[in-house]
Amino acid sequence: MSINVRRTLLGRALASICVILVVAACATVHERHNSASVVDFLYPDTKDPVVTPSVPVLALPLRVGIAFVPNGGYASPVLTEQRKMDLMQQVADHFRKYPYVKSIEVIPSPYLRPKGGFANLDQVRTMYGVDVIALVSYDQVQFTDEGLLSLTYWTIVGAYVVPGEKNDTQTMLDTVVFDIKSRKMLFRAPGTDRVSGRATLVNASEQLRTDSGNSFDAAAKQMIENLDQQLALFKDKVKEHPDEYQVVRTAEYQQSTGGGSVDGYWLALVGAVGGTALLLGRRQ
Amino acid sequence: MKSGKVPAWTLLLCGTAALVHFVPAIGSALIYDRAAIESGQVWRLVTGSLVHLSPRHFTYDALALFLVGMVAELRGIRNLGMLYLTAALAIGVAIFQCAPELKLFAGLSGIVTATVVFLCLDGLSEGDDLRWLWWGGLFSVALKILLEFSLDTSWLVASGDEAFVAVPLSHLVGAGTALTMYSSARHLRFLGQGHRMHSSEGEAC
Repeated sequence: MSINVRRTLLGRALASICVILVVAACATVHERHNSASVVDFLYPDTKDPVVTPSVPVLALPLRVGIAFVPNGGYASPVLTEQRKMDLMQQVADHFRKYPYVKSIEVIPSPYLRPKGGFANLDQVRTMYGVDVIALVSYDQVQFTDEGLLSLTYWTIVGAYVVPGEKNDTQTMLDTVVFDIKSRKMLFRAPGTDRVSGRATLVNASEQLRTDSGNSFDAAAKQMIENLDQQLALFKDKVKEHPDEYQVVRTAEYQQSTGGGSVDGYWLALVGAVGGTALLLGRRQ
Repeated sequence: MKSGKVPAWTLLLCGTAALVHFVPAIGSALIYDRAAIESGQVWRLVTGSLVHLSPRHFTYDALALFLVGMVAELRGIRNLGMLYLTAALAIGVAIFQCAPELKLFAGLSGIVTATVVFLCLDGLSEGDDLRWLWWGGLFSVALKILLEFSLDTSWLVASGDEAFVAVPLSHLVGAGTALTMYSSARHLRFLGQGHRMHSSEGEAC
């Protein structure tokens, strides 16, 4: 009798341990964090005196550089150099049409070093001949939770076919535009995205990489849209605060961009001819 | 004047220009960019006219084109799309050949000029009571182009707010295109019935 009781108690204890283990497994949260901070890059040593920006002199058309801020630690496996170049090329293509942009140089990552600061930007300025630089930073966090379906992993087959991994990817891309010479930040534009999905245990990491890439792409798209808006706001700001930003239109700039423009004379002419034709034509 | 006729070509062109203006990514792919054209993106010769460099630039150009294009189409000028396309191409090619200093070009005003000239020529061919208007229009266009070439600027650009130079060549080429097409149409008769550039009231659609 006592042996049976002991066996029963032992069985219950084992079962309880199993349940605890399973529940604990279900509650497991894995986190991946990739980031590259523009503050860490530009102001690496807090003991340094604060950099005081001066009034930027923007000589149009501007020569613009675009670069990804280097990350000091673990690099995202998805954000490869090629992907970075493609993303920066998208931004560059988008802004190449503006007449006040003379050129956009896509600067590869090796030209910036972690915690390089403005000294590093001065080197880039010399090497590439850029006046203004757009620094792209990012922050991506990925969470993986194992849901109730992960219980099926005990069957081995479940690990292959049941999507028990719940992935959540949150991304922020941020472009901040600096006038290198004056150290003045001109404007910034963020882009954010969140991707949620599920995966089986065996393809969890592959799915995470896919989500990571998709989330970067979506955030980049939003960032480019925001860049447009921020650029428009910045133009207004320059007009409203001429004491804070000096704009110099070079002769080259004046001559290199042409507009087929209708002016007051044309409008009056078109209005007179068109309006009269409409009015008198109808009467006839 | 035909009432109830929809100025389809003009609406299409103005609508496309608005789309291009408000979606900058499209504008980047379409603007006249000399370097890109030299590297093989020849469509920019034609599509450059659809792009505008500032909100005011777009507003003025689109407003003028809408007005004159609408009048032209309401007067029964058919196939105005042909004129728009030919003028855009001629302007792009002329700037590419004659203005190598221009890296970027944008704007519909050359097409507006072409439409005004074409409308006036078409009006003159009708021989109606508005001859004074058509002659006045042609004279004003000629005077404006002369002024632009002699002063090398336009009022919009001279106001200092715009970040580009005026290109009188686009207006000259637009006017020239309209003259050429009008003359051709008289002979080829592909724009209307007989030597006239507009469809007649009794014409079957």
